[in-house]
Amino acid sequence: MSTEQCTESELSAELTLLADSPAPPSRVDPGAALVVGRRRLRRRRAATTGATVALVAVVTVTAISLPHGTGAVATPATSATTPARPTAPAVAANDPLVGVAHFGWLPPYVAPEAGYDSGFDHGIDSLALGPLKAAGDDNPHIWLNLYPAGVTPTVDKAADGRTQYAVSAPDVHGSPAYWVTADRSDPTNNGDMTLRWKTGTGQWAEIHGYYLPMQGVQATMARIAEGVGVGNRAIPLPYYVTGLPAGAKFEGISLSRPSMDVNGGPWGLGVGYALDGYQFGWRMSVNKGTPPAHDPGEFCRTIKGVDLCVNGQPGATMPAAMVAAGGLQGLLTRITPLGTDESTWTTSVVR
Amino acid sequence: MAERRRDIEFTEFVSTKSPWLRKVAYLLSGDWHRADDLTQSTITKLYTHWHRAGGVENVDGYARTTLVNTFLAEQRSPWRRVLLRRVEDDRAGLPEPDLDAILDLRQALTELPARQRATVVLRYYCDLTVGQTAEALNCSEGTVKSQTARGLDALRRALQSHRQNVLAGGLEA
Repeated sequence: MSTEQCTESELSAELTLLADSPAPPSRVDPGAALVVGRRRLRRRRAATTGATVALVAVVTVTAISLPHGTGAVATPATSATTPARPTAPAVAANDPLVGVAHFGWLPPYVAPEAGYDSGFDHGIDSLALGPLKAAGDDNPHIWLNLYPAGVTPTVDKAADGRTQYAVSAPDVHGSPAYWVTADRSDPTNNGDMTLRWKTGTGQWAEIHGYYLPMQGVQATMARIAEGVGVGNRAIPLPYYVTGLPAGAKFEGISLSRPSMDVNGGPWGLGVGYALDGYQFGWRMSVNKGTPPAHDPGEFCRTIKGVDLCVNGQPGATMPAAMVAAGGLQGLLTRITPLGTDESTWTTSVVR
Repeated sequence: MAERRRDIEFTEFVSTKSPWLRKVAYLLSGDWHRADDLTQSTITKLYTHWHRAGGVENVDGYARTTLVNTFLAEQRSPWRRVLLRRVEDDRAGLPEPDLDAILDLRQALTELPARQRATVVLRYYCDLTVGQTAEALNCSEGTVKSQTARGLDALRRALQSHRQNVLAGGLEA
């Protein structure tokens, strides 16, 4: 830009050049935003309800009548009350991540190992992700969710307010199945697909896929559903921890593969605990060759090629039990990353 | 299921838009590290208000306004002094193309008062109209016009001063 003249178009062009100038790798982490955001929502809800634990709410739902066969359409029927989806089941003795349903066959365009998301006001979801591409690319997502026993999923309105319908699908292992779609003539719902079916245990399962290659996608979804297994399974994790402060309550864990961090990496982990209302946790990912960037008040170290950063609730008073245990820096020394070789990961996590 | 839908929609939006938000944050803060922090704060706020963001027609605009408000709020906090010290560290480790002119502009931008800087960035990088900028900054259109004029004047002066200093340095050498 000329120093004598500064036209608006010149300024726009120069600002664009400045914004596009070489930049260090981004530390923006959507996964961390999810974790922190969920905590804030949880606190907000707790403040509203006066409770500090997830509540079993009674909600109005719309039951469906499910036709068996092909081509028929289920329509919204009656209103009923049913318990909302509960939070994650009790933590296993040593492993805070217990999957309740698991992918079997997966299409080749997603990572062979699925990630998991448990707690943080959720149940447990399993997530298969496509290979990490440049930020902004739309990689395939396939979510798997198992409904608790006795809970029949309902066909609710879509996030944008559109009415959705159940459209029958071919049976899965001989049990009824249906698509959830806002377009009765398009079971794939314009590429935002949800397939539900009743598993052999009587529990309903659901896969939600999007950004998938559309050629033969209904058959692909059906094959994924056929491969799903049901049953508790402790998921190996890339760390173990000793001497957690007494009374620390597990809040949630998220293991994404590949990492949902825009910087990439084969996996990313976030763990949350709370003690006397004080929330703390840690995140882990594969080291990228430089010391991990960290926020103020966050403490990090790199061990066996894995970055580990612990963090607490900014501005909150740390409980005495945690202070006595050395605070966040003390916690940092009691978490042992196991490295990038997943064969060394463990289900004996809390020791 | 609403939770998961929110997560899906949010993740899709952020994975697509965070590079753009980061650039806007960089123009506001003059520092890539600070831009990361600003963007992270912004997307976290977006998540907690996603029900609101999902209901507006222009989610990009909602995110941009959240970013600018976050930036302006932090300018008022004691953090600012600490964070500004990081500006000079920001070139370390970056490629060294001929960016003198661009870096002059960056320096000149950081010398603008925060609201003038936000006005200039919204008007000339984000291509917002006076009315849209006023809405984003929650001020009158007249204020936007005056802030814009002052910002442009200040940029001209700052750039001229930087160039003269460079020339003087070269002559002395």
